[in-house]
Formats: sequence, structure tokens, C-alpha cells
Amino acid sequence: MLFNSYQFIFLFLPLVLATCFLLARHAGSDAAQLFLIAASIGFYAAWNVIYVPLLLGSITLNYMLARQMIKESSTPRRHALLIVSIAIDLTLLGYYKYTNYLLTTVNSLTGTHFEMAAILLPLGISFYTFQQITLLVDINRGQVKEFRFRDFLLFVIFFPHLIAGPIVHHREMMPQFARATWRFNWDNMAVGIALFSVGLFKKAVIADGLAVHITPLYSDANSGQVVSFVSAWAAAIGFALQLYFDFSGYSEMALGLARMVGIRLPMNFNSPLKATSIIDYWSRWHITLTRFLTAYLYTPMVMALTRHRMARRKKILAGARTTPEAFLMLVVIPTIVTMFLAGLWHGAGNQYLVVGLLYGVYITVNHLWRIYRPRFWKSQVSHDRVMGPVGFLLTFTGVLLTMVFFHVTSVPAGVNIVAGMMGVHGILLPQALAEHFPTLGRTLSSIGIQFGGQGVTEVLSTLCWIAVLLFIALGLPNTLEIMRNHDPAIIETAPSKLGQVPSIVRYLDRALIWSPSPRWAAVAVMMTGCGILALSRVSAFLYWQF
Amino acid sequence: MTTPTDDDILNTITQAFRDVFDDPSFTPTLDMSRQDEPRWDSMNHLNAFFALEAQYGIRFGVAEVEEVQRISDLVRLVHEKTSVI
Repeated sequence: MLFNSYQFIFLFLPLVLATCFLLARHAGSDAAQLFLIAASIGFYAAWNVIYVPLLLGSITLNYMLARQMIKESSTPRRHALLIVSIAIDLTLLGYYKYTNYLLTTVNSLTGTHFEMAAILLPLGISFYTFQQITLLVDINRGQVKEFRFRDFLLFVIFFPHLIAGPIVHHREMMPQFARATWRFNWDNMAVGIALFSVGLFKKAVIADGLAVHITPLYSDANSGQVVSFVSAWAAAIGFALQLYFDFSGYSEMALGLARMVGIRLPMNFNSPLKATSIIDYWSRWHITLTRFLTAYLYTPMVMALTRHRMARRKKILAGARTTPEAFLMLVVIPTIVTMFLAGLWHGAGNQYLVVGLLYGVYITVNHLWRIYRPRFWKSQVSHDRVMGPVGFLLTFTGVLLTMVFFHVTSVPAGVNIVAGMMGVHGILLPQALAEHFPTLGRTLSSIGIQFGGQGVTEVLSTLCWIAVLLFIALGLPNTLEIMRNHDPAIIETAPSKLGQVPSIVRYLDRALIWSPSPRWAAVAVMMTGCGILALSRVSAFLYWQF
Repeated sequence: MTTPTDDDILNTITQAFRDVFDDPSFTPTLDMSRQDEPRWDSMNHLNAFFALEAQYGIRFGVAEVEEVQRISDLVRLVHEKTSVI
């Protein structure tokens, strides 16, 4: 069941909310919590009931291992339990997600003909596997001493975040579950509906509306047709916007749904396309994935490598005096490994490895600049003044390249679009342009521009979509900034940063401050109405496939 | 060995960040968070910890490193680790 479906909006959600509030009022918070667990299982079963036992089995097994780890006083035995449990989790994830990818790779490398296994990827497995691993690792680190089974169950299975995140952390969820009343509350409902309505609008009206124009461009590239300059840029920018509105819309719907029953989920997006460096970008894009990768992969890896070098009296990072060898061992390797695995986590396909490697290289270059730049460009103030806009353009272009590989079905199709962006396939403009403006047509033809392909209306409407959405993504404050006075999410970003919106239109930032008022209620009604009207072309969230 | 005061610790932290950022004018306040300073990324975050480990002869765990979001968290953590009981 999708959040943007009639069944969810008109049946599941009202029924679940009404029952939850009634139970909380008449039978207590425990009954309401147990009901939400059952409702979440029902939500999952509506997609494919066959994988419910896998989900519940994974939770039960992880819970038993976690309890055992808490009881275990011997550190080596606790470590061993951790390794066993993570191995089981990753084996399950690996089996369902990567078996066919491995078979394909082996077949293509060795010429064998292993048949593909008929494996359907269990929905949300990448997300619930990660969430359970965070708890196990933190138990091993001594950060978790006690928790209740029903809180653990809801922590993994809570329907707003079960399928595609945000990847929640037990530290932020368990205390909320322990003190939740699950009762109806006007403030929570108003904020929840506002978040859900914006999310639905972003998903159903914007992302799906844009997809109509963008998907055919990728179909052409995937089928091997050369993509010319204008189409290639439209494909790259268009998909970057589509994915942003799709996934941030989904995340806001999740935030809103959780908030309706009084739970705050963590912020997942903070206007990523406004980033002025790639490191900045990853602190704004899919924030809960970034913090997971940093806390459970990058940091432990860098700390272990640094201590290893210190024990052997080798040089570690030392600002602008860092040696190339230390840079290689302590920056290049951990960054590339982390982003490579991040790419692989997103999907089983060589194109995702390209995405991971590209990000790894970008971040390495960004670190290289940050470390050595003070040697030749001492003034931080002049650096920030110049590199603000330059960094934005570099980051935006770099992100566009990765977005292309994120959406194609193979690496050659991605290369096809990137080559088109670089002008390799020439520039193709609509035929009607040359017919209506013959002089202009002749001039452009003389410099090698060709005419044909899509009609003027088609091209113009795609470009209009892109222009308007670029303005929204780059020029306006984001949903969480607009709602910042009402605590819409667990926000790790400092409030001062959320307030300092780098908007093109600054006065809009001041005008766009949400409050539970008739004006904003009208906006929510309008957005929900448009969203529901647009549901006739229902499509899955792009991130559900992961 | 005497327990360093919070001011001593803040001075050492300031110096550690100045070295890491290669910026002798960098002056953090106690309520500065990781999001307030663009150069305070995950790599420089770790570098500051290693500098403090060398300075005070203490050792931080991964969980402690991850918990620190503000300069004040770092001062409190170093204070706990260097307190003479």
C-alpha cells in the first residue's frame, strides 16, 4: 500500500488513527501501541503477505540476540554475538538484494550460464536491517542497557518509516515510545496534516508530473538511442529534481503520519540542492543515511586506521602538513570504501557502483581542497566569498552526473546521457523552430545545430517544469524551515542555520512561516486536493525499490 | 596532575581546531555546533579528537566521538576524562 493511494488516504489512515485514539482514551497507551504494531504489520502485509514472516523473524532473532548481548558480561563473547547477528542480517540482505547481481556478474565475467533466481526484494529490507544493526552495535558499545520488546518491535515496524525511512535511531525513538500517550492532540494533528499534505503534493503533483516528461528521455537512453545536448541536460536536471521532490515528499509524508500520533521522526532533507560543497550536500541529502554511514562505518574505520598508524609511529592527518601517504590511508581509502558501499546499498547494479565511486571521488577531492587550500589561499573570508557560488556550481554539476547513473538501467546508458551533456551527440532543437524562424534556423544549422525530434510544446513544457522547480528547490525555504516554529522533526541542524535561509527571495522566507491558522489550513486543503486529484497516475516512490 | 579547568580545556580545543583548520583566527564559542562551522566535517571532527587525545593522554571511544555535537559537549567529555578523583 502506497502513502499516495486512495486505500491508504481514505481507508487505512482514518481507520488506524480513529482506532488508535479510541484505544488510547478507553483502554490505555499500551493497547494503542499494540494496535499500532498490528496496523503496521497489516500495512506491510498489504504489499506482500509472504514476507511478513521474514520481517517478524528478523525482528525476533535480532531481539533475542540483543537480549543475550545485554546479559553477556564477557566482552569477547559479546563481540562474537555482535558479529554473528550482523552476519545474519547482512546475509539475509545480501541474499535477497544481491544474489542475481552476483550471478549476472559471474556469468558475464566467466561465460557461465547460471540461471537467475526468482527472488522478489522484500520491501524495506535495506532500511529495517540498518535500524536493527544500529541497536546491536550500540549495545556492544555499552550505550543500551534495557529496552522493551514492544518498543523494539515498533521501532523497526512503525508504518510511517518502515518502507523507506527516515532511518531512525533507537536513541530518538525508544524514549518517545515509552512516554507516548497515543491520544488525539490538535497541535500534533495540525502539524501532521500540514506535513503530509506538502509531502503528498510534492510526490503526486510535482515528482509524478515531472516524471511524465523525464521518463521518456531515460527510456531513450536505456534503449541505446543517442541523447542530444538539450535532452541530456533536461534528463539530468529533471531527474535530480524528480528524485528530490519524490524522496523529500515521501519523507515529509512519513514525518506527518508519525506526528499525527505524536511521534517526531528525524529530518531527512535540508534543501540539498542549495549545497555549496559535496560534503555540505551529504549533510543535507538523505541525512539519516549519512549519519548511519558516518557513525557505523566511516568513523570506526578512520579511528581504527589512525590508531593503527599511531601505534606504528606513522604520520596521521596534520592539517595542511598532511603527508600524501597519510592522506591516502586516512582520507582516500575510508571515503571511497564508505561511498562504494553506500552505492551498493542503493541497488544491485554496476550503475550504483559508479554512483558510489563518483561520490567517493568528489568527497575525496573536497577533503583534499579543505586540507591543502590554506597553504596557498590563506584568507577564509575571501575563500568563502569566491567558493560559495563556485562551490555551488561544481556541486550541482557533480550531483547531476551521479543522478544520471542513479536512474539509468546500465552504465552504458548513463555514459550515453553524460556524453550528450558534453555535446558529443550534437545539439538537436525542435523542427518547428526552424520552420517558424527560417533565418534563425539557417544560422543555427550553419554552426552544426540540427533540427528534428520532439515538438516545441514538449520541449518547452519540460523546460518550464525544470525552471519552476529549480526556483522552488533553490530559491524558497524548505518545508521544515517554513514549519520551524512547530518542531516538525527531530532536527540536528542548528536552529540558527535553519533560520539563515540562503533564499533568492528573502522576503518570502519571512512571509512563509507556518502556523495553525485558517490561511495555512486552506493551503493544506488545496495541496491535499491537488495531490488526491493527481493520484490517478499512481506510481511507486523511487526509494521503495531500495 | 591537576584537573584542567573548563577554560583550559576550551583553550586546548581552540588550539586543536586551529591546527586542524589551519586557521589561527578560529575562535569557537561553547554553544557552537557542528552545523555552524562548515569546516567541522566528519574528518576534521575526528582530527580534533586525536589532537585532544595526544594533548591530554586520554582515549575516546567511537560512541563518545559520535555523541559530540557542540563545543560544550567536547569540553564536558574532556572534563570527565581528565578529572582526578
